[in-house]
This record gives sequence, structure tokens and C-alpha cells, in this order.
Amino acid sequence: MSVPQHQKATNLEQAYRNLTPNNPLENDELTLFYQDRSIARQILMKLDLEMSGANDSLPKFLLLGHRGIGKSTELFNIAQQIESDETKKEAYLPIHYSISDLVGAHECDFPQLALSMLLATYNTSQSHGLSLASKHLEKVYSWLATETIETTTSKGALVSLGIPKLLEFIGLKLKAGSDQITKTKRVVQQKMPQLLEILDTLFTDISLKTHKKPVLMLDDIDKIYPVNKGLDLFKNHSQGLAQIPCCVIYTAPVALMLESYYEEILHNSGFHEYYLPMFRIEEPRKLKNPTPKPQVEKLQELVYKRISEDLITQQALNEAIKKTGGVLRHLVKVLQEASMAAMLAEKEQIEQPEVSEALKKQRNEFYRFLEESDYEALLKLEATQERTYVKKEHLHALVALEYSNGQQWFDVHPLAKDLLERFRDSFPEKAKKFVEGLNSSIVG
Amino acid sequence: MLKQTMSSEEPYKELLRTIRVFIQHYKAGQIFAIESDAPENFRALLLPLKDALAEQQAYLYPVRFSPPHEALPAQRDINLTRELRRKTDSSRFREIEFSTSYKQIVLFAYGFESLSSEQLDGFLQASNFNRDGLLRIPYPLVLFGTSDFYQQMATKAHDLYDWKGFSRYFSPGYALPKPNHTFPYEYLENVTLDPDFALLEEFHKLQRLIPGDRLSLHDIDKEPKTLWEYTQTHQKVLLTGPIGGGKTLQLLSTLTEQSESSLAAIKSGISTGDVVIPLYIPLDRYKGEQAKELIRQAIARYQTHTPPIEDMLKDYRFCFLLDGWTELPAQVPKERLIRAFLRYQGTRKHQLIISGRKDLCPESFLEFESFKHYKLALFDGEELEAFFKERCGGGQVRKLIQRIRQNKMLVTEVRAPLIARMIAQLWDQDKQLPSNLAELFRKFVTWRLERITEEGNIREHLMNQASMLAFHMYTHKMSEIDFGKAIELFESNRSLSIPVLNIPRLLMSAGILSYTEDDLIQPQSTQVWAFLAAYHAHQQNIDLFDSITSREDALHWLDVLAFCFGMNPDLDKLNDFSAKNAHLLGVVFHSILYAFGEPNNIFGKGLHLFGLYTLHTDPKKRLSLRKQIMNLPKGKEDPQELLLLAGWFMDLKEWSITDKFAKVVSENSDKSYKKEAYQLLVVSSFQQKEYEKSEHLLRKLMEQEPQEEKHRIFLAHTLSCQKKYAEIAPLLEDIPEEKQIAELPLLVMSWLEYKEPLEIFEEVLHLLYKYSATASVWHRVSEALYDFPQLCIPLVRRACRQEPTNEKYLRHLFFSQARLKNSAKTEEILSLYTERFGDTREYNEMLVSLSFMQRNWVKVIELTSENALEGGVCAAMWCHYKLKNKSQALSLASQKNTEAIETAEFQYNAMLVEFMWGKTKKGLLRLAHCTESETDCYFVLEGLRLLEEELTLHPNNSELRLAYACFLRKSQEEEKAQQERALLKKENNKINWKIADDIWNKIKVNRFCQKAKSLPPLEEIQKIARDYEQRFSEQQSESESQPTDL
Repeated sequence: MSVPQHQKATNLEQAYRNLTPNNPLENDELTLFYQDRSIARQILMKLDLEMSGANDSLPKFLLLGHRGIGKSTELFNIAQQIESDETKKEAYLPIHYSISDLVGAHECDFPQLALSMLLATYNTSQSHGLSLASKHLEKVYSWLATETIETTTSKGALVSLGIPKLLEFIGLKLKAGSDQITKTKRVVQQKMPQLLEILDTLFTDISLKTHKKPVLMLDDIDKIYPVNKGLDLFKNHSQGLAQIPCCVIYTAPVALMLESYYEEILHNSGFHEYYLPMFRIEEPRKLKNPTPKPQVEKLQELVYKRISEDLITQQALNEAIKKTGGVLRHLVKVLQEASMAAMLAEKEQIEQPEVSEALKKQRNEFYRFLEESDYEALLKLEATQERTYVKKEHLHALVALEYSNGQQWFDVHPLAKDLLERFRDSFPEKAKKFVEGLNSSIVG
Repeated sequence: MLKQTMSSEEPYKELLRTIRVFIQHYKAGQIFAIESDAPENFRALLLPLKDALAEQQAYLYPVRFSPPHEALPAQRDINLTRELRRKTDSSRFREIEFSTSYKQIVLFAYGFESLSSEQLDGFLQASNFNRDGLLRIPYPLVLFGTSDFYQQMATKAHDLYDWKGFSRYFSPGYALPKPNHTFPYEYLENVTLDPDFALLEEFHKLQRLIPGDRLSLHDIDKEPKTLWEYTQTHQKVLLTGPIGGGKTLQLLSTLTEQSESSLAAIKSGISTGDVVIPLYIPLDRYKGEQAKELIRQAIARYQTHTPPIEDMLKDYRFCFLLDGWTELPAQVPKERLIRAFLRYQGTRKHQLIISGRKDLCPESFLEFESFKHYKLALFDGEELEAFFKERCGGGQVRKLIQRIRQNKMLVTEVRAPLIARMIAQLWDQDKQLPSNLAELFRKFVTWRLERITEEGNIREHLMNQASMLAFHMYTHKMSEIDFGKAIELFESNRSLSIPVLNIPRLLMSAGILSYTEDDLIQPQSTQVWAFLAAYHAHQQNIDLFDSITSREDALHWLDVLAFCFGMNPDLDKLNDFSAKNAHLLGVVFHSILYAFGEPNNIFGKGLHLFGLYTLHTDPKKRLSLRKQIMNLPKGKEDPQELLLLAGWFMDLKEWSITDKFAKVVSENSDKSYKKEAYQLLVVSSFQQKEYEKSEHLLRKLMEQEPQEEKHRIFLAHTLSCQKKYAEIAPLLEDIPEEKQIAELPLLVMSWLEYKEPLEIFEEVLHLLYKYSATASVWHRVSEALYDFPQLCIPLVRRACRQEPTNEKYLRHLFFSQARLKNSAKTEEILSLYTERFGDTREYNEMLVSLSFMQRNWVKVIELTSENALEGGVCAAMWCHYKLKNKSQALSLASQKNTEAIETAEFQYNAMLVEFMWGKTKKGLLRLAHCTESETDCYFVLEGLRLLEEELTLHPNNSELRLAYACFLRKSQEEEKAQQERALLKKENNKINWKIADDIWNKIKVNRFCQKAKSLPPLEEIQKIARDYEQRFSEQQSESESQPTDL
């Protein structure tokens, strides 16, 4: 169970270990495998500009992108860049955390989010050996201790803990998904204005003590479950999020961009939007302007950072890239599976059959949750590549994908397209009926 | 539905290979998903998978997901991460991880189909948003579910579905029987699938049982058996063994073996009512629940729906396996618990097997209930070698065994499986052997912490935090602790900046702590916990001995004390403790020896036997232990150890054992030890009232060290006991005055032999005032002057003034005044007495005395009949005699069944009464020897007359002659009496001279009586005393605040 030393894979075993779809890159993996997508640099540049300006604003960033596209990796990268650059290190104190780690992602709402900021700020200050102004924390302590802790053995013990530990404890309870959540939320909801004031005091306190500007980086907001809860956070609390008295980078679900209120949020709240696009593997059918070339090479480069070129045939890699539609997670997952298949077949490199087999498995994964209504929507999307036919849950499940090259378009995941093809073969009439009247080049 | 099937020829082989590759290269958080058509198909996969994994030293750990059972503590929700963390944090899991030779553990999660639709929705939802937590479970996870399960996951928990990776389809190629959820089928099957038994395989074959005290002989010669084999023939079994001896292991193996056997029997057609269903009931967290509740919980762990317990007790045959019964603390009703199980055992022939430590087992109880007793045998040399060969590989084993043999502290300990396992692990690490058990545990805990962090300061911090928590929990007798409270403690003990909330998690990862089912924190292993508590005490220099004041405390701290001793074998401390708490010391020693294995030297054996001796109350057992102890010293042992043992036995007032040990040292050792041995012998002979021997030894000691005050003082006491008062003063007069004060009563007794009482009195006053003696000394000196009440009174008055709350002093003053027959003063004191101390029993005695003095016989009779005082019969009889109520007096004199019959006074009075009215010869003789009532001349003259008559008839009867001498003394013809006695002594040795000598001493009393009569009146003496007081109070400006109302 020892952790292997990270290095570019030169054999299939290493390849299998380097191709991990679920873990964001951090530490030495980040150094070795990271493919620069310029988002981190852009955000840091903007941050420098905003913070050095005379208006002394506290910018808020929205980092949007599909699940598994690399948002978390970008946040790790931003934190690492701050740490490695002396000027930035002197200027900023990154407070980087995952809300699911701190307060859990289930039905997380604004009060819970605000509380998570308090917890994260406290944790960071603790790890930097800072003691924060206690009278403000005591205020929060008194709300939470009296309202949220049940009269159990915990109470006596916790009351004597003081605010920092109590906050941590509540964080744990919230994360555990206990009925504590409702009570805590209610209390925090009532005290939101005061809580924001306290956050303000804490951030000022940190700035004074460290001479650094705290930068909050909230990861995994896009994982809030159910999806609508996450969207509601931006819909109903965009002002609140914008008023957090600190520079903040929020990760946000890609579905937010489809919402009618999205533009309004951006306009009213002054969020700086950064979209981490899907890697383009094809051009849109209806080209409005000349577009940059597809990013197949970028994906190849990304794979070759993790594994040696000898370990996969060009053909196999291209097939994997093409069929995974630019979804990085799927590409990595398919290649990991293929590397295992190659190992089992006692080969020394991944070839087409292994990749095909893995792609087939990924396609089967899609197959399982598609119902007739999904086929209808996806057939329409495939036909039009239009936003009108995109369902939020399809975006979330990565069967519908959004691409950008200065203009946005949508498409069905290539593997899901195989399923649509099969649907058309099996139910030609039905398929035809679904897309009747649509203005599309592929219909008919 | 699209399915990925394996190659049709070798479905298992291909799948198993894939899993092996997955495990070999796995990263935290990865899941290997297996999909099958039917939930029961997992059975076809489990065994081949287990074997395949075992080849690469990986252990398959099945985790069954089932609906929450109402008999088990409530769970907030069931989700994948939470359940897996709970399992992997459990003590058994950690044991497998840390203690077996497996290099990896693979989790196999199954059974989701038993969840209801609603429960499954909740499970998927909760698992979905907790999926990140899987990254923190560092064990490969194989997920087994039906196609329907994955379908549900795809639609209801998409992120988790995506996360889990591609699923593999598995079909056994044949139909397995559908799951049978009825009792006992489901129960037995799930028991056999329980993964917690990995340890059994490694140790089971090496572990033997030896018969206990009550096993019939023919069993002894048979091959070693397992507990399970024994249970086939016995209904009630007690299994005992040392710490780490494998008691739990035996019970668990009985659970599995019996379950497998019963399951096979049911499958072969035997009725479920006829098979034995084993129930494992661990009592480590028992808090007084009903037996039925324990049964319900034991079943619920393996059975989805439990039928009513009453019905089951009627319908099935159970084998109750109660683990750790003897270790239950005193406050829980443990005997009641066993009785409840015995009732079940009696009604339906259920079996009852309990395990525990022999030393903590109430033997009488089990004897009464006729349990069969089996002891666990420790490894013998060959077995041990076999074990290490298998566990550590061939090459180094010889070296290891050799090292163990060289290490006196470990040579016996290592024979316990737990310890052997720990040693094997540590040997694997650095080929080093710890010096003793405490060191072994320290290394073991450090090694576990090394597995979670490479940073030494963090390890040290964790060790300190864990040991602090252990000590706190031991101190407060807690078996588990609230999370918040633990955090609070960690915070207060914090020295590093690692967040305190991480500490429980880190300690759990190290296998030191775990969560209980209701989310409290508990230690993983009681032994490691005891070690940690001891480690804290050692680090903080906490003297545990100070906190032990009762047997209950001693039992509670047993193991901790043992480890403390291991860390710092401080014999002096044990010695100090023994002086104060001899009755507890045995418990402590026993624990030390118990924990450190069977001793192989005299000291160890001595301690062990000492411990046993203090623990056992059964006279037979004590006699046998006594014999063993007496046979221990042979003369070649370390004299210091022998002397320590002798000292401890002396604290138990075991004089003959003390003598034996000390004598062996005195005969076989050099000067310094000889001296200590003599000292022990002196104390021992003194305590046994062998004053002459004591004197002899002391004089020998004084020859070597003539100036040693300690010896002089002791000799003075010895002489005093022999009534050799004259010899005392020369011994004590050499020592400094300030030291004489403490021994002043002895000096007074001695001075009385040759100084005038008044002279002594003044000298005493001088010293007492000069050195500001305490009330106690004033009182003791007054007691030494008992025969001179006039001198007594000022002294005891002073004691009363210094300590007015002391009831004894005031009573002494009362009786001193009474002896002077000062009725008014006596009444006054009595009134003061009641005012201060109320109507006590002593008050009544004083009242009787006063009435006696006032010759108010009627009042005495009245008082004694009302209050039924001790000796009341005697007083009443005397009063009746005085009132010439012959019949009442004789009637009382003939009473044989009162307490008073035991007192000398009663006997004397009874004889007197019988003699006066009965004129019996027996009465006369016994009257002669009585020391009471010297003054009634009539009896003496009458006695002399009667004896002279008798002696003319029997001139050589020595008894009569002695009685005559006694009467001569009573008539104050002392010289004649002494002559008669000397003559008699010369002629006859058969007379009981001890009694005769006692009587003779009374001559001195008579002499003192004469002297007392010649003393000035009390007023004058009091004036002398006041003068001294004044003189010294002027000198020392000492003011007396107490009233002089006495």
C-alpha cells in the first residue's frame, strides 16, 4: 500500500497508476503531469490587477467547466503558483478547500457555504500559527453552541472547547450529514449579516497579521447535490457571494451557464467568469467564423506527459481521444482500462483492440441511464448542436458536451452518438419523428 | 442490456486475474465493480477470489451491507464510505492488518440487494456525495452488485457511477440456491462469511487447551483439542488463559466451526431445532443489559430479521459464548448475568461457555455451578519455533529463538500468542528484540505510528496524546469517550500545531483507537491501552501507588501497574507500598507477574505466590500455597530478594514465612544482609510474643552496633513485655532527652523499680514540659503511673486540656478519680463527659462504676439489666452477692452463654460466689489464681484456712501449694509467698509457670499500692504540677487557652 514515486510511465504498470481519472493533480503529480491551459495564469493576472488597483476591490471569480475537466487541478495549480512565486507569496494567503471536505456537499446552501468559509479561514490561520480575534469568534460560538448542540454528553465537553474547536466539531457534524445541519443552517441564516461582518473582521485580522490578502478558493461547488441546489446558490445568493469581504474563486457547475439568469448574475454581481472549455476534437458543423484547429494534439501531449509514447500506438490514442469527445476524465479512464487489458494480454503497449474494448465499456455506462426521453433530447441535440436541446442533467452526466472556440456549441458525446445510431437502427420511425422539423444537416 | 462477459471457458480465471492486476496497481479511491444477475452469485466467487488473493498475500475482507437492525445501535445513514470506514477502523480489521502476515487487505462489499427500495435510494444518495471519502480508505475495494443495483446507481447516483470505473460481469455458469433469509440459515451463513477470523488460521493450529482443575484424568493423555471439540461434550465450560493467550480467538473459532458444522447439518437435512447455534457475546462494553438483549444483539449482527427471542430460546439450541466475563467491573451485576444464562441453559439444554482470567474468576461461584474448566496452554518451545519459522521465514529464526532464550524477561512471556505475534512483527522490522514486555509494547505502538507518519515529532506527539487519553480514561474508569471530550483533552495537551481534530483519525489509522457503533471513541486493544496509560504515568512521574487504596482500585489498575513496573522496575516503591497496603500488594504483584509471564526465578515465584496468597481466601488453598512458599528458599538465592519477600510476608503477619526467609538469609549471607535478616527476625519474634528470642537477637545486634538507638529502644520494649522493667532505664538513659520523651512511659515503668514515685513524677513533669510533649505522651505516661492515681490525675488532666475532644483521656481521668474513691469529682467528670460526648456506651460503663463506688448495688443491677452491658452479668452477680440474693447470684454465676463468661472478672466473681456459697475445692483453686479483687480479706483468710486444711491431707500437691502461695501473697505475706514459690519452682516444672508468674507480678502492684497510700494528697501533687506548668509557661510564654474545669 505504499505510494509509488511519480514519474512518467515507461511500462504498463506505471501507466495504469499514472492514469487515475478520479484524483485531481496535486503536489508532484501536478508538477509532472500538468498541462498548462492558461486559466490559472489568467486568473492570477487578473487578481494582481484588481488587487493592485486604486479602488482596492475584492474580486470574485467564477471558474466554470464540465465535471472532470480539471477545475480542481487548476485551483491546486493557482495555490502552487502563489507558493512558488516570491512576490505572490508575499501578497496572497491562499485559503483553498473543498466544501465537501468541510461541510459536505449534500444540499449545501448559502449559510452552510458561509460557515465553511469561517471554518476554512480558521483552519488556515491555525496551520499558519495565527491566533484570530477571539471576541468575534465567541459570538458565533454562542449562537451555535446554544442552538445547535444537543443536550448530550457532547454539550458539556464542547462548551469548554471554545469557538475554534466548536467550529471544527460542527464542521465534522455537518459533513457527516446529521440532523445538525437543519438547526445550524437555521441559526446561520438568521445571523447572516453578523456572520459576514465577522468574516470581514477575520480577513482584516489576517491581513494585518500576515500582511497578505487572503484568497478563498472554494472547490467542489459543482458537486453540490442535487444539481439544482448548487445552481440555486448562484441564483438566489449571487449578491451574498459577491459581498463576501475577501477575494474568492468559486468553482461553478457548467449548467449555470445555460440558465437564463446567468448573464444577469454576471452583470449585477461583477463576477469574473473563467470557463475551462472541453478539449475540441471536432469543429462545429455550422462555422460562423474561422476557428482554431481542434485540440487533439493538446490531448496527445497531455497523455504523453503521463505515459511514454512507446506505451500506446498512435492509432489507439487517436481513437481514444476522438471517441471520448474531449472529456479528459473519460480519456484517462479509458486509457487506464486499456492499459490493464494490455497487461492482462501480456502486451508491452496499448493497441487498438484494448482501447476499443475500453470505449465499449464506457459506452455501456452511458447506455444504462439513457431512457427514451433522453434519446429524444440527444437526437435533437445531435441534429442541431443547439443549446435549446441541452438538458442540465445531460451536461452533468457528460453525455451532452459544450465546446468553445470563441463561440459556443454543444454536441452529444461521441460514445453516446454510437448509442443514438443504434437507437436509430432499432427504432427508425421513432428516431425520425423525434427530429422532424428540425433544421439540421444530418437529419434525413 | 449490454454486458461484458469474460471468456466463456474461463470466466473465473480471467476475472480473478483482472482483480489481481487491479489490486497490484490500485490507487486510493479506486473501485473494482463486479456485476452479476443474482445476488447469491457472490458465493461462487468469494472462495476462489479469497484463494487467488491469498497467493499474493492479500486478505479478502467481505463487508456485508444490510438494513439497519433495530437491535443494534442506531445508524444515521448507511453509505459506502461511512460503512467502509467503520469497518476498517474496527479493532479486528486493524488486527488483521497489523498482526497477520498478509501484505494487503481487499474489501469486498456486497449485499446491497437486501436494502429496501427506500433504503437503497438513501444509500446511493449518501454514497454519491460522500464518494470523495473513498480516497481516504487506503484499501482496494471490490463492489459486488446486481445489474439492477448498478442501474439504480446510474440513474440515482451518477457521480458515484462514473467514479466506480467500468464494471465486470460475472456469472458462475450455474444457478446457486436463492438466499434464505430465515433463521438460523441466514445467521449461520453470515457467521461463516465474517471476515474477522483471519487470525484464526494463523494461530489455531498452534493453540492448545490443557484441562483445568476438574477435568477427569483420561482426557489429559489425549491429543490437544480445540475448545470447539470440548464443547461437543460439555454444557458449561469456563475457559481461562493469560493476557494475549487467545481466549477470544478460541471463542471465535468455536463460533465459526460450530456455525459451519451446523450449516452443513441443516443442508444435509437435519432439523434446525436440533443443531447448535453459537452466539458470540463480547462483554467488553457490557453495561448491565438483560441477557435477552445481549442475545438479540448477537443474532442481529448476522440476521436481517430476528424472530422473538422467547420463541427462539424454546425452538433452538444455542451455545452462548460469553467473552471477558471475569473482567467485568465490580459495579455491574455479573453474577446475575451468568445466572440468567444458566436459567436458559437449564431449560433447553443450551450451552454456556465463558472466558476470562482465572485470577479474576469468583471460584466459589463457578464451583457451585459446576463448570468444566479449561486452561489455554502457552506455546512450548517446539511450537514457538514452528510459529516463528512460519511467520518470520527460516534464515533468521534460529537467531531470534536464541535471543529470546537469552532474555530472561521475555523467555516466558513470548509463549503467549499475542506477544509472540508482536515479537514476530518487530523482528521483521529491525531484527531487534525488546528487553521486556513494556519495551515490547512501546516498540509495537511506535511501529504502528511509524506506519502513518515518518515525522518523529508527530509520532511522539501522537504517543503523548494517546497515552494521556488512556490515562484519563483509566482514571475515570471509562471504556469509551465522547468525541468532543476527547478533542477537549487533546487540545489541553497540545504541543504541536497539527489540528487536534486530526488526532483521533491518525490514532485510528495506527490501529490504536476506533469508533464504537454509536460513534464514541474506544481503544482498539485493552493491552495497548493499559500500556499507554502506564506510559503516561511514567512520563509524567505519576505515582500510581498513591491512588490505590482499595482492592477494587488495585484490580482496576492491574495491567497499568504491570507496565509501569516494566518501564521502571522500582522495587523500593513496591516495598514502600507494601508497608502501607499489604492486603493490596498481592493483587498488584499478581498483575505484574500475570502480565510478565510465569516467573522462573525465586523472586518472581515468590512474588507470584505472594500475590496468589493474598488473593485466595479458601483455607485449603492458602495452606497449599503456604507450603509452596515455605519450600521456596534454599539458601543460594539473592539475599536482597529474599529479604524483600520476607518483608512482604511480614506485612501480611505471616510470621513463620517471614522467619523462614529471614533465617535462610541470616545463615547464608554476609554481614549487611545478616543484619537486615536479624531485624526481620526480631520483629517477627516480638510479634509472635517470643520476647526472649527477640531479646536474644537484639542483644546480638547490639554487640555489633552498641550505639544503635533503634535497637536499644526495641530491646526496651521487649524487656517491658517480659516485665524486666529494671533493665530498661540503663538502656534508654543514654539516648538524648528529646528522644527519651517518646519512650518516657517505658522509662517510668523502669524507674518505678528503684525510684520514689514522687521523684519520678517531678522528673517526668520536667521533661514533659521542657519538650512540650503531646497529649498522647502525657496520657501514656499517666498510664504508666496507673497504680498511683494521685500522680495520674494531673498528667491525664493535662492531656485532656491539650486535647479536649479525646474521649479516652477524659474517661481515664474519670477512672483515676474513681480509684481514689472521690465520688464528687467523679460525678463532676461524668457530667462533663456527657456534655461533651453524650450518652455513649462508655458513659454507661462509667455510670455503673460510679454506682459501684457509691455501693449502690440496686442501681448497678438496674443499669446492667437495662443496658445488657458487656460484663453486666458479672456486675449484677456481684451486686446480688452483696445484697445477699443467693439464688440470683448463683443463677448468674452458672450462666454459660453470655459474653461475660469469657472475662476473667466474671470467672473470678463466679468462682467467688460459688466458693462462698458452695465451698467447692475447684472454686478455691481457681480463686487462688485469679488476679482480681485483692482486697477482700475475708476471702483470703477463708482461702488460706481451707488450703491449710487441704494441704494437711495432700502435702505434696503442687497445685494446692501454689494456690496457698497465692493466698499468702494476697494476704500480703510476700516474703513467705516468694519463698514458697521459689521452693515450688525448684521442685516442680509441670505447673503452668506463665500464669503463676503473672500472678506473682501482682506482688509489685501490692507494693505500689502501699507506696501510693504513702503519697501526699492529690491537692498537693496538683500544686506541684501547677508549679511546673507555671515555671515552663513563663519560660516559654505559653498561654493555656483551655478552661481548667477539671
